[in-house]
Amino acid sequence: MNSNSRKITPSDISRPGSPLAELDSGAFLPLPPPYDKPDYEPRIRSLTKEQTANYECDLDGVSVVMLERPKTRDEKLALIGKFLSGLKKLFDRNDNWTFLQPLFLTMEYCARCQTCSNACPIFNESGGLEIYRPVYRAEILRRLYKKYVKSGGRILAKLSGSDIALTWELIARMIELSYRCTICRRCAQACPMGIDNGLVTRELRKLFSQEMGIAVKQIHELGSVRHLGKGSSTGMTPLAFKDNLEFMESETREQTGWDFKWPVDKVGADILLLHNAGEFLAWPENPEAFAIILEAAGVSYTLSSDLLGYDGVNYGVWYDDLQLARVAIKHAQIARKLGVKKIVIGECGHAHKALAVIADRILTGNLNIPRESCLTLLNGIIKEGRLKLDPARNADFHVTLHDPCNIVRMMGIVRPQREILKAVCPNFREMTPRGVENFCCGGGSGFAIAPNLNFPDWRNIVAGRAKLRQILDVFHDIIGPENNKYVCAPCSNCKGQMRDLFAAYGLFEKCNILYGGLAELIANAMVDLKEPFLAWEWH
Amino acid sequence: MTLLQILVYASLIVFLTGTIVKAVKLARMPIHLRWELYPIPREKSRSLYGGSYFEEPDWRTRPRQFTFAGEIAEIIMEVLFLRALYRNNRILWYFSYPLHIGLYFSVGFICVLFVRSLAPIAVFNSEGIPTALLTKPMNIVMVSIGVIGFGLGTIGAVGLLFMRLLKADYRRYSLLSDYFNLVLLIALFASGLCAWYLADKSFTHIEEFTRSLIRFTAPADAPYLVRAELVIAAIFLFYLPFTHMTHFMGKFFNYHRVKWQTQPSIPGNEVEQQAKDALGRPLSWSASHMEAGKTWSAAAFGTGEDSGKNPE
Repeated sequence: MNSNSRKITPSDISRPGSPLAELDSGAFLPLPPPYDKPDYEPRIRSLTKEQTANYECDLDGVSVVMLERPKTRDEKLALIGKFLSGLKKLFDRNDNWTFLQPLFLTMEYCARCQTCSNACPIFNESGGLEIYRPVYRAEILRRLYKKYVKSGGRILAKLSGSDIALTWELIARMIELSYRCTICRRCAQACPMGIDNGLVTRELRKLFSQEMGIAVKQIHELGSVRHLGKGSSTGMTPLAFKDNLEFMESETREQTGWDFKWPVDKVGADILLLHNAGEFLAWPENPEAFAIILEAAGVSYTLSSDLLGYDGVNYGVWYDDLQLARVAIKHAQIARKLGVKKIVIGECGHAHKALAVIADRILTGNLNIPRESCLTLLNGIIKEGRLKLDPARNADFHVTLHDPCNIVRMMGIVRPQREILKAVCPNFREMTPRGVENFCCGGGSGFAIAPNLNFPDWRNIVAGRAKLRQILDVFHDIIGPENNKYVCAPCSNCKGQMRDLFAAYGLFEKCNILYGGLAELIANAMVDLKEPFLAWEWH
Repeated sequence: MTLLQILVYASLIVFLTGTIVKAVKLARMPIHLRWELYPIPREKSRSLYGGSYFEEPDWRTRPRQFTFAGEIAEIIMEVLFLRALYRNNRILWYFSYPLHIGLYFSVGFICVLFVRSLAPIAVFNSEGIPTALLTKPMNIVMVSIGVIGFGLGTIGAVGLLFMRLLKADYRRYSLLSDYFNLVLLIALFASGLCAWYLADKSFTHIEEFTRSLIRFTAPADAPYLVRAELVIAAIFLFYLPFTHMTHFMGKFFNYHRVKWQTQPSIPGNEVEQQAKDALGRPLSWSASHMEAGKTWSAAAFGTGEDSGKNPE
């Protein structure tokens, strides 16, 4: 690592000029075979001169927000003013009742003991780059809060040695820095005080979005705004959804030989099944597997073709409370309209957390409909013996499980997916660490859907590095391409990250490792299907 | 009443008032959106692997399997052994643990002083002279608790100060106030230790001073070192409520109101009612999509309503 990068202090974030820290691939933690050889690793591309001139990238030479550099002093001053007003609103009982207490506690009680640093995969994998230390961004926000929000803060800041200069450079770097953390919350789990630096990341993103109107384009404008307007963040309209459905329906008819229709807009069904619409486009085998399983098990369920009813994502969970609430409310309203007994969320981690956990205190009154995970539903179906399964059908490949943070650490759903895998995959092996102590895939908090400039390189090489190491480690004894291997990732976002991560490192070509969902493995074990459901060529 | 007595009374009042005000402020904060983190010890056997009630289908209709014993056991392990720090930051634990045990013993020492000062009813004769039978063992207990507390506290605080000074990643984030806190703690414990060793071997003087505080009587003359110890203790109490050293309180709220708070909103329950009230709060965020001036409910529903209630 660049030696100057090692010496960075919180107050350095205000300084003008070139990138605060330089990424040095030589300092990154080494990977296990076969990536322990020189030139086996991809590289983080540098931005072009034009990109550097146009976009704020003075944090680490990477840009995901693609924030245009303000051209005049007045522009900068106006943005600083907005930042300050947003900062105050973060600590207001009305403007931020949603997270005031956890944020206040995190601001007030951190002992700066660095316990969180050991838990952060991004900080560790980068070789300890100071700006990625969990407490780095939290400490800057804390100093700003103490100086500008607390009464007498300016004097106390000088007395306590926590003074920090609020410059445009600080704000621009903090905007990017709020997208160098996947909000996996391992730091909060490790903290003896319960301080939550992952929450700090989210609150910063909120300040930028809710006050300054700044967010990653794919998360806001092409994300939650498009979701609310067109019905899906993929841009899929209800009509396009029905077209996709017809295609998938015909595929499942072919696969099963059954003459069946997928239930859509069926009023009075027990369950509204809410998939991530990305599945329909990128991994249709996942909703297809669900349709086959639920049909065979005789589950009363329906999909919805209503606006938003076919896309369970909720990007607000990463950056904006109001967008989060709006999407969750629409989902609940659709369920109410259909008269279902409960909503079951498909294999999408953030959709789980958004709808089942965070929106719990938004969906009141008649919208307070039970919301559950597909993992418990699938496990229940298998436990009750409602499917004829032959695990031997999954015996010619080895399987490991990736735990999506949002389903495991933030919801406590740990066992059902394991019970399913033990029931259908004879060659199942666990990663370390796992369960609630898992590592993020590297694509969490919206990273996987943000392909801007050189950010995907950073995401694959730095953010996804811990997961890549885990995958290589768990299959270390069978790492060669002669053994088929499958990483089960029951989350669309994680699959999106794995798609890019695997491609960047050539994981399929070099090691014959495939990634996919959980339902596909169940469908592949169903004896009712004459041909195997899984096709190794899917990569 | 002496100046020293006034100082100690005032410090106690400031400490208690400051701590209570802070606790009330935290307790009265509005309900927030759920933000739990597993494992959660209340989840009976599931807590062993980090599971939750979400693992059960139709969990709303099933009896919830919670255990307060698990939660209490976790709290005890955390308070007595600083388990999270032990697991996740062992080097720091080697110093933080003696500091905390030193604090616990010091609080215990104050409690013993307090009890002995109230003791005339039980173990003092009619002249207010302690009875020999009970005085000796109590003296041994009190001196032991005090010396162990001051000793461990000093070791821990000195160790933490050195860590902050010597380790670059600590130093980079340490503020003047962090160093001041540790120096004050060292002064607090070390002054207690010095006063005991050099001037008050059986803690008689400090005990008499405590008795004078409780009985509102004039204290006997105490040696200079004992008075210095009392002044430092008073300064510490004045200062404590305004620092992050009140993290015993922050930790309680962080664990019970945030990390372990999984009480669901069920139609008609208290959580749902509080959530409805919170949704009726106004917002003033100024980004174009935020609809400043409306309530959260009206902005989220896009109804223009300002009731804070979900339209039925």
